[in-house]
Amino acid sequence: MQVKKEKGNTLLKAVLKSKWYPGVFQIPVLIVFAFITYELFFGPASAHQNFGTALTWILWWPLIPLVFLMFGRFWCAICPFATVSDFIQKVVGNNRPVPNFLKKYGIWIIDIFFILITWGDHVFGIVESPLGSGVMMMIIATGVITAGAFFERRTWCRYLCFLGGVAGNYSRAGAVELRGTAEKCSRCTVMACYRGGDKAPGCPMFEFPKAMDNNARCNLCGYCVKNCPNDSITIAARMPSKELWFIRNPKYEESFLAIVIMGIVFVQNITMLAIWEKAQAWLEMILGTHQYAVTFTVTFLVAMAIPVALLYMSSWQASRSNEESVNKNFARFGYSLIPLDLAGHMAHNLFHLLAEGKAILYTGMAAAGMGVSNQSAALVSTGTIQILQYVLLAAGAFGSVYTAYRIAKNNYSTKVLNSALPFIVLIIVLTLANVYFFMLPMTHRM
Amino acid sequence: MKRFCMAGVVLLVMGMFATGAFAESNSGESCNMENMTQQSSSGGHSGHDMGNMTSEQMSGHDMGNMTSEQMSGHDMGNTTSEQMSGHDMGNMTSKQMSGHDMGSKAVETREPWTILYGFSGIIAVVIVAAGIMKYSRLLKEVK
Repeated sequence: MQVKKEKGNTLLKAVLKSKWYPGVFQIPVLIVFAFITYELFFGPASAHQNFGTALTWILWWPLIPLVFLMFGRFWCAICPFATVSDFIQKVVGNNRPVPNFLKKYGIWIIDIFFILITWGDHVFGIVESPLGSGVMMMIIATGVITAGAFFERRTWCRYLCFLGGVAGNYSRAGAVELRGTAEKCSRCTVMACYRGGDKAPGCPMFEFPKAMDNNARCNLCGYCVKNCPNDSITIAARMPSKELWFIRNPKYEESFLAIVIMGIVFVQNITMLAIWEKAQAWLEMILGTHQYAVTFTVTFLVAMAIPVALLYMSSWQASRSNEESVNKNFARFGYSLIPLDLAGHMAHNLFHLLAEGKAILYTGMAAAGMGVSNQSAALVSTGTIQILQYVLLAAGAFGSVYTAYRIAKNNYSTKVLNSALPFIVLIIVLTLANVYFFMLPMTHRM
Repeated sequence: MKRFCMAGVVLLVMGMFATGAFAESNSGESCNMENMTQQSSSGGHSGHDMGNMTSEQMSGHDMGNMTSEQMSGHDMGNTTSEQMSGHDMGNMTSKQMSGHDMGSKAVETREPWTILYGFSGIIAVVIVAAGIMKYSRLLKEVK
């Protein structure tokens, strides 16, 4: 008798099915988070001496895009905010339905949150101030707990979390996917994956694996794997960015977030460059004010508007060939920028991780009461970092170009090149801009 | 019953926490300038506390020939304006600055506690409100 080979990765599935998962990760992460919060509030007031700042902005933030690429939204399953929220929900949760306006405008709210947080970081100082980082964490904690206490499942994570929005976009390009098996799911009447069962609650992200065709909301918590009586759920490795080629119902707001992330990475780069001082002085002269909030806001809006305008121009050009509306082209091809987003984000943060990596050790030693002499915090030389940044950008650009081509091929069988070309040109322009920024000397976070 | 007891304990602890938070935030009003950090100094008190000011906040202050870029990253600790006044910041470069202890005293400000307790208070109120809503509904259902 021939035994039918199980689909997907059995080891990963076994991990997700285990009763210890995700708790085995959640508890240590929660402990580390509590320690970081303590350090941010009560540790050294200077960012470059604070262990909490180092762990958050030199280690966690640079590594998180890599986690999204490798494991999708796995971080969301073990996120300490969500762990606290889940606990509060168990005890006092009212499990009210999600308000309609969140369902309707959730991604826009995430877009706005993300833009505001980045703006706030520069104007009020979040990364450069441990107390600022601590306050931001408490604001998020308050929001998550409030959502968990009144609304069902992980309303915050699905509809409001700015990092969740970014994670959703990035994990679409991720290398792992969790899906239901169509034949098994079609016969199922229990739907324990969504409703919950004896072994675990229903999907916290309001997803129904039977109908799930993307990674944007799945956080790999494994609850559906535990609950499914038909063993229908599979988890498998896949070609990164493959999901982006076949998006059936592209959303304008998700594409908007993709291009906004590009603008935000530009802002982060520009404000850390030596030319920023000169640009600021010039802006002060033009605007007639020395208020940093004003000059930065103008820079921020311009840096944000340029990529959006460029994507619009490409969409307009493509719409002339494929005869779909400009907005439809914007929504459809905006996803093709995600691999480049991811690469740009990772390349920017790679600098902080590799040029300031030892700061984690030094601040950790200082936090433990050990003396630390002034030494370089760099793990590798600037030249090495630059090469790695260019390699990342090249991979991202290739991924984006190929995604644009595949999107065009899947949607416009006769005008593939004409539809894809404006976006390929845009991707090349954005890549070159990134390359230029990474060629210039950059200041450190710590 | 078990859930009721658990919720009761949580509500009690959170209630105590919330009470403590408000008491603490009230006492915070008497903070003197020495205890002020970046957040409080960045408003109407600019020019006094050099505490944890950012490069932007520094602009406008006479730090000799230092640029805001040179300033950023340097720990000015919690030095107050009084403590600062004795120091000649003259024409020091960032390199020269790095060897000077600008008062890296242990952070003993009350403000982090006030902020933390403030947020904890809000969280506690949310939890108490949610708990009351949940358990009053459950009680109605039981009756």
